[in-house]
Amino acid sequence: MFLTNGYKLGAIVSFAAGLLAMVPATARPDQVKLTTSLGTPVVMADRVEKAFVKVGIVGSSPAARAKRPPLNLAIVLDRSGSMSGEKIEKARDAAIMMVQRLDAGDIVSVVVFDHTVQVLVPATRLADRTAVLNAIRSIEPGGNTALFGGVSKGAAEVRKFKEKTGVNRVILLSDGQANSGPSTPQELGDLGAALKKEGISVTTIGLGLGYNEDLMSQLAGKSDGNHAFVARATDLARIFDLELGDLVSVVARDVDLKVECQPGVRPVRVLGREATIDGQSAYATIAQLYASQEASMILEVELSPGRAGTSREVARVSAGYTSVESNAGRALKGSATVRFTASESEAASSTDARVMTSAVELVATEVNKLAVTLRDQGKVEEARAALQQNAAYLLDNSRRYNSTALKDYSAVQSFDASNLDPASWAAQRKSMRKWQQNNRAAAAR
Amino acid sequence: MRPALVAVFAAFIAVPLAVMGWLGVRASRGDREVLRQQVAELTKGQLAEFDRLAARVVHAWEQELLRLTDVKDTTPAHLRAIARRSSHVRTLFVIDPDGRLRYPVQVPPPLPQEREFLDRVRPLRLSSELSFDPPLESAHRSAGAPVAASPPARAALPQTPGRSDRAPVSSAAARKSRGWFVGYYGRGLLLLFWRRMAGGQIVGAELEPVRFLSDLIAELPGTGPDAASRSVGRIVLTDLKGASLYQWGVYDPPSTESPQATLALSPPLDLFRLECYRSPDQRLDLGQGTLFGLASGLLSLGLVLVLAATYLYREYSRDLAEAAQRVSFVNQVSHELKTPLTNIRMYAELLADELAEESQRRHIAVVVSESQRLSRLIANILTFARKTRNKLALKPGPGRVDDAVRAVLEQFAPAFSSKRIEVDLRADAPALVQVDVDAIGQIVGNLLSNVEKYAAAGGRVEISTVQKDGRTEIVVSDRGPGIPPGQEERIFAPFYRLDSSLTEGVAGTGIGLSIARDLARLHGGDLVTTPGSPGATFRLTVATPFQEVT
Repeated sequence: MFLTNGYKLGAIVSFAAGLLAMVPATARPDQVKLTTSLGTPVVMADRVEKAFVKVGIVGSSPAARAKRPPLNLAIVLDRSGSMSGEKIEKARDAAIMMVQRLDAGDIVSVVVFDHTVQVLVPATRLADRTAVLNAIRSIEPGGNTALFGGVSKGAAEVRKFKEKTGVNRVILLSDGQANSGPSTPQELGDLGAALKKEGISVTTIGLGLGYNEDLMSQLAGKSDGNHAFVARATDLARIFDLELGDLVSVVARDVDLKVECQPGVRPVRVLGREATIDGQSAYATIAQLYASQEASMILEVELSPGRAGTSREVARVSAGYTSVESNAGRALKGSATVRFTASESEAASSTDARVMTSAVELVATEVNKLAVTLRDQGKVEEARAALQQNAAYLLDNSRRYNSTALKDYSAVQSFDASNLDPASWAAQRKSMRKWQQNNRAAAAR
Repeated sequence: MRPALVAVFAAFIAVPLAVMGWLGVRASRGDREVLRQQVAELTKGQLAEFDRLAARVVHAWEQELLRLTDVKDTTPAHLRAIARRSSHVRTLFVIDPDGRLRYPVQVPPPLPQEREFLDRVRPLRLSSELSFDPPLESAHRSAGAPVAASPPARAALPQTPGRSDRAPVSSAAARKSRGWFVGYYGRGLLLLFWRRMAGGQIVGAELEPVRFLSDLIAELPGTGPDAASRSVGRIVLTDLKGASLYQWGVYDPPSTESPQATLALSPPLDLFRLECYRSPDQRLDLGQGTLFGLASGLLSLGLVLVLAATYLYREYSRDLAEAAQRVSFVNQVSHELKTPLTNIRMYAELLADELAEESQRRHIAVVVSESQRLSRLIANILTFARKTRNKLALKPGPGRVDDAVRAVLEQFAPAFSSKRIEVDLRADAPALVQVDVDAIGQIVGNLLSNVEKYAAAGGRVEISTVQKDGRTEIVVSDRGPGIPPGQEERIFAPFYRLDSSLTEGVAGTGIGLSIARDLARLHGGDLVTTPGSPGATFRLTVATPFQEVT
């Protein structure tokens, strides 16, 4: 099984102070911490420099919390014909297990879809667990895949109780290509983005090899849900378990990040997260923050030349979020400052290898995506060249930052570059997408 | 059973059934037509109900959009912040009262979604009139490829006409305060909403089409296990190109099936249509009532008719059986009577030759005459019985017709002389021919017997025989009361006796003439009455082929 959402990564630890120009967040200790750090806090003077600003936000550990907030879940199950047999059985079992582990105060709805969509269990507090379980047991496969409709109905069920609860989530399980109603990755991605704005995330679980990975990852990615790829139905129970573990550990939701670049700093792009750059500011939203896990975004900026020995504030960061525990809005602030130097060695020694590693990873991920796009257009040679350059870039940086991970990734790029022929492309594409999502999810956390 | 009888009974059953069936089908066809219209109306009503659900979504969105576009501050930063937070809109737009698009524009540099917006609406030529002037459809058709800024893939896609609430261009007073535009840009849905602010400025929004569609789907019913979901058939929400956006209902129509009813949603969503499909079961359901009633009606009618026919047939065949039994009984009795009667007659005739005394001879002549009469009667009965068993046959042989006639006359001589009936015989058939003399005797005997019974008052009977070309004609005329007009044929029917004073007090079986005619026809001829005045005239013709003398 492949798990591409960074469950296994755990928390990315926050950063030590030292040479970092880090301003600790003014958060309450028991809630959420904001960190703002630069990959290169000291840069060479008198030239245009590229820099990466990493904004991380970390939730408190679940042990610190007395009682978890209620969940508001819609379990959306594909019951199209291809789900027959073991798949539907395991999906039922996994859903049943999940419902059994929910609290009586949680809200759950069950939606199944084939050509059409059936709201099997409308959103309800889990007072009568048996009825819900019986409904899940009654699911039988057959028909087409109206995925869009299924998610829409699931979201509608979640919406019924949305204002009152902490965590709103649609969990979609599908093994197939959406083929009824809107079915492009673009459309499902737009839906995910719109739902995220409402505070609803969609976790997508792709089962087997037949599903459309772009579509499922777009939907999950744009809505800040998890995306998991499960090769065998027997692993479903574990995925649902992990998902539930994530959900109960949510400490904050609707985190609005604003990174305001200061004069002399030009925002270039945001890596690792959906974001909007408007003028000098970059905006991003994080649907929910899990306990002990860091969500982050990396902003690539261009610094106009500075004089040696001077400092410049690079960015001011503000974060607003809703505490799940108290259901109240909170705000955090942070900022990052860069220092200009004439000494190459000083600049090199002050580099934050962790931030840079993350940044390099994400840059390489973008290149890898570009390679997939090129290959999809049939430009095999261009794709191969991009991947080879990517491998070199990663290898170079792995030495610089002494990172085995980057070295491994470099090897992955070389492997990708040598597997672009038509015979293996279908499987190779899935593998590359998986790698991309993995990196992105890891960075976003 | 006789074939004719079968046909009669079959007709007895089939004709009413066919008439009833025809009338029933006609009535039912009319009913079905009415029913189908009712169903169509019903389906339309049902679809209209869903249209109202869609209208609810439009209304809810309108409320939200009115809230979002109610802005005093129309700086890009503010408008972008609104769009960023809202899941309903992709971007806002502002049109100045002088008709110029003020936001989004090229400065400050548009965000990606704003650039897309500009590409998408360029063919619409947004203006403060918001009438999409020149008219929208032509604008779309003539738009051609959007300008270089738009992505080539999109530019290559055909432009599809959209719809909008168009305000009248001329009358500024009648300007609408808000409106929708729903159309397509290439394959993508383009949804715009705009409202006119107090100063004449227009603030609008490009909606997130996917979110709108998702809300529409959320509002529309899903498929459920309940009866309502079953009765709905299958409803499909389609876009302009007929592609299914969402569907619900248990029935799964084959792809070749055409919808039973179609309804375009109310504006502004009139690009979308609802199609209703129903399973053949359900369609039958609607017409089954009358068909079933008709079928059961015909069935019960058929059953009643068959029962009636069976009853009648049984009655009829019982009568037939009884009649056959009676005939058979009479036949047997007659046979039993024949032998002793023959003996009586034979010995009476012998005795007549031996008796010398006049009174004795007269007495024995009566015995002979009566026994001859009885013989004729029995012969008639036996002939009739044979006829009913279809065993009537002749035994022609060499003979002379005149001899046969004379023999009969001889038998009647005593009776005629006692009733003073004069006999005038003009015999002209002396040739030896092929003839059944017994049959001739029986026919003539029956005719003379009638003369004796009914025409004795005339006091005269004329008999003539003529032979020509292998046929013999015998004419018997009396001077009696004759046959009433109109009865000329009926007297030949079996058991028919003239119902008049004539027959009163006169014994008769009523089969004499019938048998006479049957025998005549069997003999290749006929027996008819010819009008003669006074009295009755019977003309008998029989085939009598010339008999070679060997």
